[in-house]
Amino acid sequence: MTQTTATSNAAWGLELSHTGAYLVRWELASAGASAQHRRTFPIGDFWQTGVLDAELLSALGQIPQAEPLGVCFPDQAMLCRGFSLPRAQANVMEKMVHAQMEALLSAGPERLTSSWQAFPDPLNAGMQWVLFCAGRREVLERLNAAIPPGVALRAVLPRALATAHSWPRNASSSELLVEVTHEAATMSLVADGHLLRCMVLGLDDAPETESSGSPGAQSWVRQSRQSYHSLLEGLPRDRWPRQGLIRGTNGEAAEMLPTLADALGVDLHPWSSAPDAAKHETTSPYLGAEGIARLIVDDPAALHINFARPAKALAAPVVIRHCRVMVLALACLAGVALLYGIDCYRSSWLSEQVEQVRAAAASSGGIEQRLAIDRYLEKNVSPAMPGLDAILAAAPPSLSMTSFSLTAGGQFRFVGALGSPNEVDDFLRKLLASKALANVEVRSLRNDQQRWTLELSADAAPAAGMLLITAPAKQAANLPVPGNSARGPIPAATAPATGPTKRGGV
Amino acid sequence: MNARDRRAVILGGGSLLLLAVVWLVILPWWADWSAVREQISESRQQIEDLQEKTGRLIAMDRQLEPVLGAAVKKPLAGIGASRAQLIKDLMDLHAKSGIQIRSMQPESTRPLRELPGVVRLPIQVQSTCQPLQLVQVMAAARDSSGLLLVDRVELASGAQQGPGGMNVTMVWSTLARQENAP
Repeated sequence: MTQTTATSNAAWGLELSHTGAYLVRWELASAGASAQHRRTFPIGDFWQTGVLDAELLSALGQIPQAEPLGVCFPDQAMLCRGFSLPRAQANVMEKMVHAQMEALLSAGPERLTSSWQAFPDPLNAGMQWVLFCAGRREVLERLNAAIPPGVALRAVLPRALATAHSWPRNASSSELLVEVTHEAATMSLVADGHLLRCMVLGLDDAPETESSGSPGAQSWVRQSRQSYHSLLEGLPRDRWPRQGLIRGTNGEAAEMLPTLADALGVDLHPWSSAPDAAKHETTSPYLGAEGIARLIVDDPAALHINFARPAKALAAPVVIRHCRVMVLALACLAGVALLYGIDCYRSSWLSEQVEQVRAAAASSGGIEQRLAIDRYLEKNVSPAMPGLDAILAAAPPSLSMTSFSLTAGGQFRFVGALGSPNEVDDFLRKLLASKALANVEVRSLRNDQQRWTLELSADAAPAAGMLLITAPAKQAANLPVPGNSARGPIPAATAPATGPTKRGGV
Repeated sequence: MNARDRRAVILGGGSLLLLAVVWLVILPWWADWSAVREQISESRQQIEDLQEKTGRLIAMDRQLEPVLGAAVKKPLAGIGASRAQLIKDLMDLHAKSGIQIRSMQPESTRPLRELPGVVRLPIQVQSTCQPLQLVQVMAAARDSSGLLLVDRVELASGAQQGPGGMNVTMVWSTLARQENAP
């Protein structure tokens, strides 16, 4: 709840009590400090609805942005305690304070908002005094929310804390300060100018001059004594306050003084009798408002305990958070748009590629048609070359070819003459072993004048056309043409007994 | 209008705006994106198919090229152009091998049932040569600029042809694209 703020020369104070709202402007000028623009507004049903009076809202709306506002609320809505702890490092101290606070507070953080500050213990050197203050969360939220957004709300404090520093300071001893308002009396224990503890007493049964002996008044006195003892709990007796000051915004302070002084055993004096009281109005209803305005102007660094929603402190992170969220959202959008763009580009590029490939394929007759043509050619390559090659490769030197044919259906017919049955046999064996020919069949074999005339047929082997031919010319070069053959036709009667007739594919 | 009304209006308006944005912008955009992604996968599939077919085609071309020559890679021409090319190729081929062509007789075109839109153009060539020359002609056919296929071969020795000379009747053919085919 601590806010670090710049010093202002002018500030506004607003006290919201159950009887009214008091607004004042406090300015620290070269001529001295002065309170201006004091205005009182009806409080209406603010404590029930949280809505401030329209006039007050209008007045608040006119406060310049540069002049901060402090708001104080009734002490009944807070709890202010103090305790002494050994000096320790900040984190250790914080743990100890939280442990103490948990022990002291009956309600949890859902109902109470707390804040604390530590300073050297004025009653025990070497120790730290921790002053913590807890306020009802709903009251504080209502207060914070009621202030118009344009107003620089710098501090929200209970009245006791807002006015504590305006009391005259007696640095030499502890002192009891009693602040009386229309609704309550707040007893504050102050030592060396530091507020140590506060206790709040309701004024419903407060004694009046004429009825101080009534049972209600006696109960109130007893209660005030108990509260006073609670205020002094744990303090060495020699440091108990011997004297105190009392002030109030109405005449009740004076009426209460003798009863309270008697009940507490403290020499109580009205603030008007204090040495510097002449400088201040001691019974003004603007004491709370002026107190908090002065606190903002005089000593903003002292605002360790502060229930104001840190508007400015939060504003920057909120803006930053919003900016970050916006940046992240934009980055996400950009990422998504980038992915979309990449996909669009890929789609367009791929479509273009497909079209190009199709166009290229169409210009060359289309891939499908070319594949079909290739398949057709693969099946229909003529076996003429491999067949002729096989026959020529198998031909013995004495072979003289008479005829050779290849039909469109892939059937070979061959007629030729060989010199001896052995050559016939060898020739046929080689033809049978050929990969290009199948179903090699001898149609006839005749012996004519020592020459064996052979007629045979064969089918082209499947895919025979795809067989590669190597050096066909060389093989063909060995082929004797009929006119070149030295030997004549072989007589059919001298066909070898072991002739290769009907071999092979037969 | 108080703060609560303003808040209600802002919330309601914001919700409606959000709905409108979802309905008019995000959903169509999402649908478009889905279509784009679908198109990407379709295009990829098509490219893969085309690549696979191209690969097969290249492999088959590579297999056929040593047998039929580089002409297998060429697209088919129309019937007229193919016939003219075939005659020229055959004349060149026989001339290179030193074979005298006795006659050249185009035969009727044969549409191919397994290849719609493609016809086979046969030409019967009669010549006289030795078997060696016949083999040379068939071997040299691979180097021809057009596709040359051998349909039939008949080789017979003839007494009047001189030493080693044989009467050769060969039917050569090529493939052509039908003019009215798409």
